[in-house]
Amino acid sequence: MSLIISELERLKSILIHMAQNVKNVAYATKSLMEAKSLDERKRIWQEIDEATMILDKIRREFVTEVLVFMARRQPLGKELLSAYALINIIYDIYRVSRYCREIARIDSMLAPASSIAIIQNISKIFEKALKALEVAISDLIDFMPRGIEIVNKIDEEIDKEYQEVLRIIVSEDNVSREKAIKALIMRHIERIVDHAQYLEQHLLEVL
Amino acid sequence: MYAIEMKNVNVYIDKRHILKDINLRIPYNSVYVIMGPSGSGKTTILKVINRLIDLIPSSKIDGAIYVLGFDVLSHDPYDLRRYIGMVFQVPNPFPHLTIYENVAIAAKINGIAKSKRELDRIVKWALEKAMLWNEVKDRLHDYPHQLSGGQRQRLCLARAIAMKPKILLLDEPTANIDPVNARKLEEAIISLKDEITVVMVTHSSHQAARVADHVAIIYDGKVVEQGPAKHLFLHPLTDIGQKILRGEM
Repeated sequence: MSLIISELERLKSILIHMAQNVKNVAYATKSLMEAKSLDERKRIWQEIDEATMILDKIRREFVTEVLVFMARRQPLGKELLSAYALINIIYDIYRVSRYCREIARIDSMLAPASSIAIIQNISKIFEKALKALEVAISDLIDFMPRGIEIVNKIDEEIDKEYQEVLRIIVSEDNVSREKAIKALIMRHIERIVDHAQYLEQHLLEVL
Repeated sequence: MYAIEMKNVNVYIDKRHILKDINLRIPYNSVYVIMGPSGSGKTTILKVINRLIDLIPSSKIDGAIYVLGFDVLSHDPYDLRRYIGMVFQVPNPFPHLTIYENVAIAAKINGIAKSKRELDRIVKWALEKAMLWNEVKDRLHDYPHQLSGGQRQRLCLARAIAMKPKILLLDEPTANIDPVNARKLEEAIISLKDEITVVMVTHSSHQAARVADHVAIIYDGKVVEQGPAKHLFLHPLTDIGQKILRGEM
């Protein structure tokens, strides 16, 4: 294996490792939607917040590593597109963790009296986003956008649900607190699926 | 209409099949880079264009080659070469002529300059185009051995363009010079394409990426890929193309 390919593989493995961590942040966010006690919720908020901060640091270091790789090895063809995709993908993955943190923050603001678990269907909707993320990260491991159609389909569904939430909000004179919170959370879920979709598109562009 | 067009060109030397069904179309006023591993036939393509291949007695060519609309195989090679300049891998200025004379001689022989003033103007123009003028303007009567290797190569470029060719062939012109001089030569090549069609052979995919408008990749005497540089450097279609870009072949 040439130096250029082995270094690219090393960078990909860092990215995959980071993606697994982001997936864990998303799982934690999902468990927040089902958490029963305040103590459990507090632990999850902290877990998500700390993980997101670490992921931001890793992202910055990773981008520097890819730039150094490009400067040293001067890749062309598929390798150049792959290096470009790595920079784009790490940003998309990192953004997922940021949206999860935003959801956790909303939950923390509702405490102790309430929580995001009261929002109707939110856990089920988030599950769809999680599925899109899982498919995209699984494709990232092979660097092959096999699941792009699944992700696109989920994106369409989530977009539709988000549009519906927005439609209800703008059409009502007095919007309930629950509906407003749902709209805020739906916006973050919709963005998570968008980033899963961008990830697939970056993989497609390398081919 | 292309500056150079090759249709199904085959070249045999000593019964060895060197070029196999070459089809190339080189647009006017562009830098066309030919890449490929050693022995793939890159330099032979240049030698076919200006008929230096004739100097190899055992060579045989078939197919059709048009340069500036002339049928290369039936046209007088000496007349053809008036329109085609060439710079070789190793700098080869005339050692017994001064810097000025090295550049002036081509313009003189081809009757391009009618007066001393005109000759001075052409020498200055050619040295400027070759990015050498500022370094030698006060020492035009020095001899080439007083120049560095990279400066000697740029002097050869100035000599080649002083005869105002329509086509310039460059056979790995930076292979034997330092990176700073190589970059200066590359800048000169890019600036020349407004007036001259440049065909350059190089081993370096990164040099090709810096200067090329169009690229052909040659492997084992065949064109395996060709197209606009912007596309080919991102989307090579073949494994061989990708390996050559990677520097593995």
